[in-house]
Amino acid sequence: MIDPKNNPTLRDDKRCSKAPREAGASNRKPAANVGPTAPESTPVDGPIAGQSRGAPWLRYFEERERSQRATSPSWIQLLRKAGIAHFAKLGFPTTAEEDWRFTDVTPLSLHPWQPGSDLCSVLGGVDPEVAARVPRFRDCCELVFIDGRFVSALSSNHESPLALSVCNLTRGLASLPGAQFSHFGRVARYGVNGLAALNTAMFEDGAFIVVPAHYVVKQPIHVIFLTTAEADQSAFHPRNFIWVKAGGEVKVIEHYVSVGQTLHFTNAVTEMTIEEGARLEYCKIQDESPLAYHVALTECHQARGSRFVSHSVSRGAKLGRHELIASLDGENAECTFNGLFLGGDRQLVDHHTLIEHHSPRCASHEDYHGILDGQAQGVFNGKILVRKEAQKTDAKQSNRNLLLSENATIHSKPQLEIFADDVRCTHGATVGSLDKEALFYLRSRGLDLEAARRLLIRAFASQILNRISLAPVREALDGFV
Amino acid sequence: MSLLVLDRLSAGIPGKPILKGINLRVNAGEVHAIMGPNGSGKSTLAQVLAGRPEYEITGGTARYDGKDLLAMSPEERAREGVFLAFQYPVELPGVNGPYFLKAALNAIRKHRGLEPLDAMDFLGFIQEKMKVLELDASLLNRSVNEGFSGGEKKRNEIFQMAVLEPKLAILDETDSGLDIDALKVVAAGVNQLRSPDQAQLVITHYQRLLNYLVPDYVHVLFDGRLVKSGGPELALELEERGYDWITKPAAVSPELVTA
Repeated sequence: MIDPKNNPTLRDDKRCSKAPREAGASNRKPAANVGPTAPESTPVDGPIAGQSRGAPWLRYFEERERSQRATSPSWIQLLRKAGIAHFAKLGFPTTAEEDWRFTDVTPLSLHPWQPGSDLCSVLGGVDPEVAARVPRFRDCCELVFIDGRFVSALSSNHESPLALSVCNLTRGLASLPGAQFSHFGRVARYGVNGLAALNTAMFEDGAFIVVPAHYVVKQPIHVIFLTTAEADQSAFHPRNFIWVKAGGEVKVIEHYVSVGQTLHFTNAVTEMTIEEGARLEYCKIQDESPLAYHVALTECHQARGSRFVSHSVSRGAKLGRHELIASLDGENAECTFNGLFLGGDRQLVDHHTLIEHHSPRCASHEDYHGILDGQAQGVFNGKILVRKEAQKTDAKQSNRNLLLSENATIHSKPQLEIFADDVRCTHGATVGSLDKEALFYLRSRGLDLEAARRLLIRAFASQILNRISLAPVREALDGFV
Repeated sequence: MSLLVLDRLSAGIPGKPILKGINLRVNAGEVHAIMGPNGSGKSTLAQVLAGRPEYEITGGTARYDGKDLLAMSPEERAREGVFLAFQYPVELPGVNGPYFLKAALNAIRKHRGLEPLDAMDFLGFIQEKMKVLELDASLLNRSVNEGFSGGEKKRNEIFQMAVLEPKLAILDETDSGLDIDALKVVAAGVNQLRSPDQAQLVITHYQRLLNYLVPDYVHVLFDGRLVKSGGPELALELEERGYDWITKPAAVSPELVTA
């Protein structure tokens, strides 16, 4: 039993008592029946802290279930139920788990979040000032989500063969029969990850991208999740679905960004399936408010001869974590993981990666650079698993870190588990500060110390950013450093 | 007025004196060669003049163009016209060559009260300079010195010198690692930069370079001191006789040996 006084719950305030988007524009929906009720003593099984901290979410789920049962397809209802069941079992991760040793989500799990799905900040139209703040990259088409909601007016129309298959998830799932979604909800492993389970139960909207076989999507698709000042105290569960059918090709940018300094929680899951010979270049940009919590799982299944290139770039959030998983399921599949993480002040930035070699003759290349200043903490954990069947695997991993202050720390851990005997696997990690020789060299040419430092830091970052094939994205990210 | 005046300049790393009282006067328009055996302090002198922070100045003074050189930061020296061509140019992975050079040139131009060059003007300007040094344009698209051959690195140093147009150029063993053809190209580049307003301090172990960069004065540095000075003929004599006749305590007086 939990004590209602001490146990945090989803906040049960009097939201939306004002009319939406009238004078003063309150942006909450009328309370209706989606908010959680007062925390009556709810039984929770198990003594583990991470589980009991999930109780408010369980209650909220039940109430939402009751209200939504009629509207969502039954297979999605089943998926959500499976998600909440796993969440009930797993709860929030704790630092007792090896994968979360340095990343303590206790404050996030204790915070009384309001469900982001209750926010209706864009229902009355998007504030032009906010609309102007949507980051756009040259030559891309956009799917824009503001405070969790898809905004069609700010999004692009897609080239004709894609009109039905590049849209927001809600529309995508509704427009085609459930049988087609053999991959949806089957890629991201929510059975071992409490937060992914929570997302599976609670997911709202996100990108829905299905690339037809042998179709090359010319314009990169820029998926933007922007939070406004209204997002303060809210939790969001974006869910993205990418399916590149055989021989297809697409470039997708998943971009999280905040306007203003809000305390919110983003819990994202992105599932990808790359069929035989198909290609996906994926760029995840995490640039959320410095007060925010951002936890994301990206998981990709790759068939024979497919190619997946990922660039994960993060600089935002108070606590930011990106878990990236590729499963190389067919021969000659190849994945490349590039990563750049920047941290300052007291930020915690965590990148966990897992590459599973299940088939022979697959290659994986991984290179993450970290730049940490202030009292920032970085975590890099790169696991490579090579199954017995995966002979002739070629796996390379490298993690290099630049510490700009004496108080910044990095926990870097390569993890190789190899069960095949004919493989080539290398890994390496370095930690260092700016090279004195290089600084002197630059200063001896007339650059002042600060300019020399900046140039070297940018150079370190550009070694990762230069691998992004999209020039406009590269240029924008160059300005991050 | 002399461009550079060193008066009993002493320096080293903590606990290890390296330069033990250097006296030297260099006027505009002159080329001075500093020769000496390994470990005599040649590179230290070059780095100290350029302002490398790891060296500690333990005594003496250095005046450059009437100013206290030792009080200036490395970047101030560069902006005032001091240039060091490094013996071992540093590889800068990820640093774009033209970007870096434009930043350097514009920092120096700003200091001199000149307008910064825009990207177009800059490109035209450096293309001229590249021709002189027979530099391959593809080097510009690579990170500074990264993966350059020894010869390419040295040529790149002189290229930077040509772009930044220093008043005092210090060439630290620019000849090392160069084959004879590359040496001629580099020397020709350096000679083109000679002018009545400019001085060069050429540090070298071998006389070879001085066939192409003919010095007005030659100095021998040994154990942190300039122990002998002379004209270009001194270099030829060193080539023939080695350093022993100067550096061996028993042979400090060459007249006695030759007599």
